Amino acid sequence: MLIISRTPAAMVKELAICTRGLTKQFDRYIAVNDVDLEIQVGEVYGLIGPNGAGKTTLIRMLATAEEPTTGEIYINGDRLLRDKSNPKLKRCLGYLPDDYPLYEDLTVWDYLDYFARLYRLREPRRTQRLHEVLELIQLGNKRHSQISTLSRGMKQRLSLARTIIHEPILLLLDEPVSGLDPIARMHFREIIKALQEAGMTVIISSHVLSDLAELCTSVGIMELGFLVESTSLQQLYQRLAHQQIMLSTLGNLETLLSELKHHPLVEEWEVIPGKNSVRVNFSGKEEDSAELLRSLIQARIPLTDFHCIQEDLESIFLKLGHKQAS
Amino acid sequence: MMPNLIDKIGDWNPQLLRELKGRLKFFNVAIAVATSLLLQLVVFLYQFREFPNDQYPLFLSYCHLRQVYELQQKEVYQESNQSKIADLRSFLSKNFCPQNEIDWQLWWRDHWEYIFLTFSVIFVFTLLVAGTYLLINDLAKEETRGTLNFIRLSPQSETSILTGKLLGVPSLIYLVVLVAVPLHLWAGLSAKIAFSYILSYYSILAASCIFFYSAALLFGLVSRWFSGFQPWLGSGSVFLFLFTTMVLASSYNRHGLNNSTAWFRLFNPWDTTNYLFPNLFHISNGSPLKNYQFFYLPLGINVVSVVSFHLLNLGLCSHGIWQALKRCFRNPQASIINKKQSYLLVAFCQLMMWGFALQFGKDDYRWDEQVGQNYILLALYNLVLILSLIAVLSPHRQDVQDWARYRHQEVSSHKSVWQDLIWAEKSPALVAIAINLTIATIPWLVWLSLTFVIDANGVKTLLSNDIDRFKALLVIALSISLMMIYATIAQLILLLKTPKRSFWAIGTLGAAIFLPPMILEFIGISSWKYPTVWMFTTFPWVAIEHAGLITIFMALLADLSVLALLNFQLTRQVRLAGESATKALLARR
Repeated sequence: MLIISRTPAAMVKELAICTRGLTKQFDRYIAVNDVDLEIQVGEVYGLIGPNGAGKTTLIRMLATAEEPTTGEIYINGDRLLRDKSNPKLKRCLGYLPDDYPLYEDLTVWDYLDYFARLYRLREPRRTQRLHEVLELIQLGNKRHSQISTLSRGMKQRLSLARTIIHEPILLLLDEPVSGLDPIARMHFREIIKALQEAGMTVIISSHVLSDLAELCTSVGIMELGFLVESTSLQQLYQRLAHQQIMLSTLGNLETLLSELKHHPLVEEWEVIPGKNSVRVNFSGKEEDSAELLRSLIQARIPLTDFHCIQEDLESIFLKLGHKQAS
Repeated sequence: MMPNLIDKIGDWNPQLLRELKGRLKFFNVAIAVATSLLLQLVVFLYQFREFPNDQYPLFLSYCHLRQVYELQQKEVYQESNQSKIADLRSFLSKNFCPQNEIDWQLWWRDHWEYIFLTFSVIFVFTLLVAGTYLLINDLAKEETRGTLNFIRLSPQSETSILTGKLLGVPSLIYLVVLVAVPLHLWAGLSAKIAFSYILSYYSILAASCIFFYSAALLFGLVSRWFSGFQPWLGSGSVFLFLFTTMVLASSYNRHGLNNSTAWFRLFNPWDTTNYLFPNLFHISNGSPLKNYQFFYLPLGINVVSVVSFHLLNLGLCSHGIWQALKRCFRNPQASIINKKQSYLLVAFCQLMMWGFALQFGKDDYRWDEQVGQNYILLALYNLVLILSLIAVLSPHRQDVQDWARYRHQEVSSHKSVWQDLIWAEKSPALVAIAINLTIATIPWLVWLSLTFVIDANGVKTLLSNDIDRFKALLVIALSISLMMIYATIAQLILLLKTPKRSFWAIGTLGAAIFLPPMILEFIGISSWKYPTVWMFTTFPWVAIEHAGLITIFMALLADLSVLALLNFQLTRQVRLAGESATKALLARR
């Protein structure tokens, strides 16, 4: 009763995913601990955390591949139950696990056609959708090839195609870029962006934080099974990312440093070794940085570079100190 | 036309289309068809060796003149005239049956019948053995690769996926058989076998396929720990079962189907096939199915009742297996059946075993005697059944922990602990085992209260002696308490933290069940000399005749005390498993 009162239908309805008290326990070890996750429709949500933090278990439970020990999952406001067939809800979900087994004896086209049929796509929409998906993952020219002949990156993309063939509204991707080369990763990012534009809600767990920073609108940080942080990327940067300014001079670095030391909004500085440059942690706003530039020029310092940079997601994550594996 | 049909199949059952696409490739199909045609040729030609040529002996069955010479031979032998006998022998060996005196019609009829019966046997072995192998192998492969999970996540129902597997995976075997069906049908009709009988055979074959294939799918789903060995184990067991039952069915035994074992024989297609085509095994006294009954219902009276009952039995059992299949497919971690299904299973088994135990023999009419002949078998089957249920129903540590820890949080469970213990998925199985034991005991209690028991010397007497009746009751109670002790031990071991707890449970129970009687037998402590000791073994009923009432009563009390102690320990363990992490931390566990 208590749990129902925490999830009023109106609130749940607006969310693509809502979990209440979601817990998974393996013996005495709690892999996912009382997680209340809320993800808005259309978001790309990045799940970060050290190995063993419970990301995969959480995603598996959302995909109905794992049964929660306790707690509830709502997809678009409807309760997701594992022991029932849930055909309507299952059509909303697309799940790509970190290993992606395929049927090596089938061709690319037959494989996708099989899954399209499993998800009850009828002609002529089915053929149309197959062409769309093959174009998106750039495997159109390989459609009559045996799956066993594809490269790892191609297999990865084919798995993604299988995941989206039925046009799910919620994509669950567990470590989708692990083991891929930079070009394959770039392809993958482009596909995810295209899917987001098509209106899909996406959850990605990944250790490649630069990818997540580029793709995500929100992030959640997991540690020891708890969801310790769940916020939009913008808020996270606002709250935790320091503005940094990179400065280079033709003159003496000491002069520049002595000017910087006297500025009240300069918090820390770091001399870049080998270059006549310094990186400064700056607590002011954009107008304040313009003021700093003006004051340095007035002090006749021969600046060759002055540009603002933002601290990246990886630094923020490391700074938060969530390093402990379960 | 063809693409349209493929599309329709795919829309109806995508899994079937996937299996067919993976298998029905040109090379595979060509090999299957060639194998089938070659087999047909070999079977046809093998019998053709016997084709009567111009040197066909006069005294063989297809020669019209045989009767004349047989009569002559008889007369000569009666006269005991050695020279005439020698003359006749020399005549018969030098002269052959003229071609126009050969009964061609009969020869061809027999020839076709031989082909028909040969293929009837080949179909059974090919379909059931090769089919189960392919199905188990396919499921094991999918489970190892992890591809089955994607199918599970699709919105297709379990029935649709598994039906697709069942129809698609053995498709090449079906092809081999289908190519041979026209010859089989032609041979049957040419042998003057009624079309309805041939159809009955096909229906029995189809029902057997559904039953064995469903069982194979279930075995494939639940036997992950065998890794690559399970297809061989599964199909090997089916082959052994078919072979053994074929040997049994081909030898006439008056009591072969006159006891509760008859139920297990009903799973093989041989008895019914032999009933339909008596020339299959040439049993001199006819098929034993002619006399078999079910709760005194004469089922063997005609073909319709024999075939219907066979189909009904296979149908009901296949339905039961499918309930388990759906559960295991949806949730591979779930037990094969739930508690409610176990009650139905035990009740169904009692119905079938008692149904076949109660049959009229030719010279025994008293139903207490039939129970008397069957009681060891009934007890043994029930022992195996309950032990299997202990293995299937007893939840492992994780499940008990989840149940004990989070039971109170489940919104849907406003049930009492007792309701949970009787029906819930993850609760300890002891109460469920007790209920199953009660269900298995009810027929015994009915029998005890209505009729006779066997006295100490094995002589059947009227139940004038209430002490005998009381002793029998006590032994039933003793057996129940022993089974409950085994169930508690199994549950306690399954709660251990050791990773190989299933093996420990099987090993401990195996030792507890079989070691004491074996040791007692080995050191020569017989049940009639020292019945007291035997009272504490798995088979107390062997000592019932020789033990006094007090002894049995004391044994029961001792068993109940052990059971109470074990259950006290189990309750403690479950409570410990269910405590929160904080509580465990504060208690420094």
